[in-house]
Amino acid sequence: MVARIVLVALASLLVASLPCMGQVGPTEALEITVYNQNLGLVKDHRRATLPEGRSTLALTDVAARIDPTSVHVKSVTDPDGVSILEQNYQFDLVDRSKLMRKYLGRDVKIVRYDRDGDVAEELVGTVLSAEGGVPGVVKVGDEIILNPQGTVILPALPEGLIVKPTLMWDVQAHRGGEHEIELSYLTDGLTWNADYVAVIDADDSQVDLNGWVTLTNTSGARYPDARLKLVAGDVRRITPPMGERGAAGPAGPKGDKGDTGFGEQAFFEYHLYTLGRPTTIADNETKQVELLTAPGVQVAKRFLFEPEPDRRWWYYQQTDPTKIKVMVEIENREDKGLGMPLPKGKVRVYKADPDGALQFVGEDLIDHTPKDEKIRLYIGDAFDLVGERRLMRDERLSTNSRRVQVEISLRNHKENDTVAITAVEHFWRDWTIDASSVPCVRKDAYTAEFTVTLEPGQEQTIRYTATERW
Amino acid sequence: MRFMAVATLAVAAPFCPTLTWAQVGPTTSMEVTVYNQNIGLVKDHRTVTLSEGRSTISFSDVAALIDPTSVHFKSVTDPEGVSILEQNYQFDLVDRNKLMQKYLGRDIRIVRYDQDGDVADELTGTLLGAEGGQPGVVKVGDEIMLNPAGTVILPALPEGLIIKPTLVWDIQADRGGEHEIELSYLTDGLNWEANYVAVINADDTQVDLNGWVTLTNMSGARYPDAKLKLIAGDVRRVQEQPITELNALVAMGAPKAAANGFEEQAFFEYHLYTLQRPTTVAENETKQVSLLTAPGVRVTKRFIFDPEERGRWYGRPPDPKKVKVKIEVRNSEEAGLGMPLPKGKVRVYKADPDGALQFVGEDLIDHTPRDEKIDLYIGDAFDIVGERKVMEEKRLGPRVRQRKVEISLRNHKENDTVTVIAVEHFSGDWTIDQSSAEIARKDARTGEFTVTLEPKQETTITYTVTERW
Repeated sequence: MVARIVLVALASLLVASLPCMGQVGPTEALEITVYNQNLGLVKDHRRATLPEGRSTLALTDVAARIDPTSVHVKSVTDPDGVSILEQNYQFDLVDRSKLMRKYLGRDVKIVRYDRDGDVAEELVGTVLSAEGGVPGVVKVGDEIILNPQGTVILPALPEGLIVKPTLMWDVQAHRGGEHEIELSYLTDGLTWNADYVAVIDADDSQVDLNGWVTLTNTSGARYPDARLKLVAGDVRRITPPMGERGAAGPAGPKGDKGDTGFGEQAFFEYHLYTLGRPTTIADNETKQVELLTAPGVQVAKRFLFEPEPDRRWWYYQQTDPTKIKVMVEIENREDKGLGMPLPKGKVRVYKADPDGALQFVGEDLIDHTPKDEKIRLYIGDAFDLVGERRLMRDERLSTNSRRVQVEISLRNHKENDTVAITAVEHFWRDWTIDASSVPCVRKDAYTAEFTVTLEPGQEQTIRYTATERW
Repeated sequence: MRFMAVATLAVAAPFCPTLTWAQVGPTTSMEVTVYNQNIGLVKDHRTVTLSEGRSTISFSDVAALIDPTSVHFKSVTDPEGVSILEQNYQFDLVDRNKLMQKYLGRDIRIVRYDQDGDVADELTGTLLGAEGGQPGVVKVGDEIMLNPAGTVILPALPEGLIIKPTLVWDIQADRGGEHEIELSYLTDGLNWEANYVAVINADDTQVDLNGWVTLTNMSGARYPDAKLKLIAGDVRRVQEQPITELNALVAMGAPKAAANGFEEQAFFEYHLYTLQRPTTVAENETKQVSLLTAPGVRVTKRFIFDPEERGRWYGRPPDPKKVKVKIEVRNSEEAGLGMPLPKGKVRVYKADPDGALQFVGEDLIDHTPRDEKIDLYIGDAFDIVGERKVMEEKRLGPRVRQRKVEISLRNHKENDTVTVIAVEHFSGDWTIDQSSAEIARKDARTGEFTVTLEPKQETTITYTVTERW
């Protein structure tokens, strides 16, 4: 009698101490926020059945590039009543190497098949060494066989190995039953940037600007019917982002300035774009959605001759001793037809040729540009304009000063157009222009600019003498 | 006569010191202390039956990344009575290469199979040369075969090779019987760090801070039902260990500190955190447990324009026009915090106009004691722009120069007034000759201008400085 009671008591104790498993259902709603830094924040709403008290929840539906340490689970139904005691991410996946290592010192079966597929030989031996998932040394009886041929058959799967990465939570719930849970995590492989198409008009004074969002998903998961938000700005990440993939922008259609589906608002120190309709983002997909439209934006085209780089950071600049750069300058202001925050991205410029067909004329990158700032696009070099810079004299005046005489020759070989070319000269330290054939504008401590206007077929030479002290 | 010989032998036996082998039983209890430096101290309690006198104990359940020179073995049952004469770590593991080397000059068998799987050819020869675990040169009869094809079969396993790394102790025990022993060792592959989530409020003046411990186990062993302790601090290790830094991102706001969480105490020159309940640390697992909760911590958001900062940057120099967003937190009780914070990553989130939490940037913090300041640089402001130009530079003497600098700050926000601090760096002995705004001298090399900008306002600071060196 006593023995039976003890047995029952023991049994109930055993049952009570078994960890209960809760069940997690499929995704019901998805929210995704994508950043420019190859980062995405995913909020996955699901339903889970939790028993009262302590239980374990497991999820194997885990995307490949999810950051497992960023996962958070919370109950929307009873946020204070459900607490997470522990969260585990298990990634001890089955693979040949691990299996063979767990079988060191144990018996395995090796079967050789003949051409017809019948068993030619079967041997059982102890694995003494395994390299690269292959039994390298097997002891059969007293003999040692090196690299035995054949298929290896193991009697059982060793404990602890799992097939897919698994997230497990040790949960304490006040109330049992069905809970609506929000599973959120950060993942790599989701990134976006803007792609702009600017169609410049016949006399290079206006562009019709269209901005597109290029969203790339290589995170290893699909996000059906997700509510999409984008954050534009330099959000700091500790681990530097992996290589960002560029994508080809379309030759965008023209549109009126109006509703493109994205609503924009300032958020913290960045800008948040919310797509007004749900969208599906498949894995290994690049999606483009229109971001903004701005027809008739005023621009200024300038020609720049910069043969010598700024000596402070010469390795970042591109220079050519004879080429004249074509710059398109845009002021991001409302009175110029723009005046909206522009997320960073590539701007491609197109122009209609004499037949009316749009042709590509150059591109450049822009950074996050707030309202009322200036954008400068270097989109190509002018074919018909040539510049030449010659250092005529370099006289050492003392141990720390010299006098230079420079000649800059600029030539306009166009048929019909008068152009203004600005020649940029860089100096080191303390400098003064002693004499110059063209007025010089001091831009800052290291830069001077000379501007000349050339009729078609005209050539002009700027000569100046400067003294530099260091 | 024969009987007498046998008897003599039987009697003589006990007087020869025989080494008896004892087996170590399974783990009865486990304690693991994890450090920030990718090491863990494991204390494994087991039972073992020791015979009186001298015996040998072997233990092959050794974790892959164990540091064999750190292993200590002691008897809890009879600490004085059990002494370790010798401790050996054997790692002469079997592999193809070693086997072939040990068979140089000996006979081996090579079998070739045909397509039907039957034996096509079998030869026995002397191994003369072996490279990469393959029989390179084999002498069969008088002929020499180079790289013979087929499966190599060796008659026996050479002595001395073992399958798994094994620890062997040579022990002297006063009393025989069952002993409870404590086996302790250091291992690589166990690491922890703190991860914090700070949810900042609508006007950027307060955060709700949650700290989590992220424990990673890649040590090649499992620690079931272990008593877990963590040491926070810069514990010095002499050998340089590569720290496998996992991309430890943070869990979003734990609702409250879980019951049976961590208890903290000062320990030596560090801080010790003890988990109040046992936990299992599986192999190849990342575990997160709540560490601390601190709602309503006062913070200050600052905008810093520092184009010449010689600070840390990844791959590219800082963009000269960007204004940095910094969140300053004073780790004091009156600010709502005031507890030792182990180093780790802090992620900041904020609720967007829809109420959904969005990530707004992260930074690392070092071990921060009470009453120290934390400075988080979490991103660059989209709508605030700074531009710094050196307008003039004049050499006044052999070691004197004068510069005129223009700093332009522009606030493109719609509604918010901001205060931007422009930091200027100087070399040598510097004096400001003229300035359109007041400069605060921070130290021998740094000065700061503080500018308040209304929405859409632009301000330009111009100053002239003379530097002597």
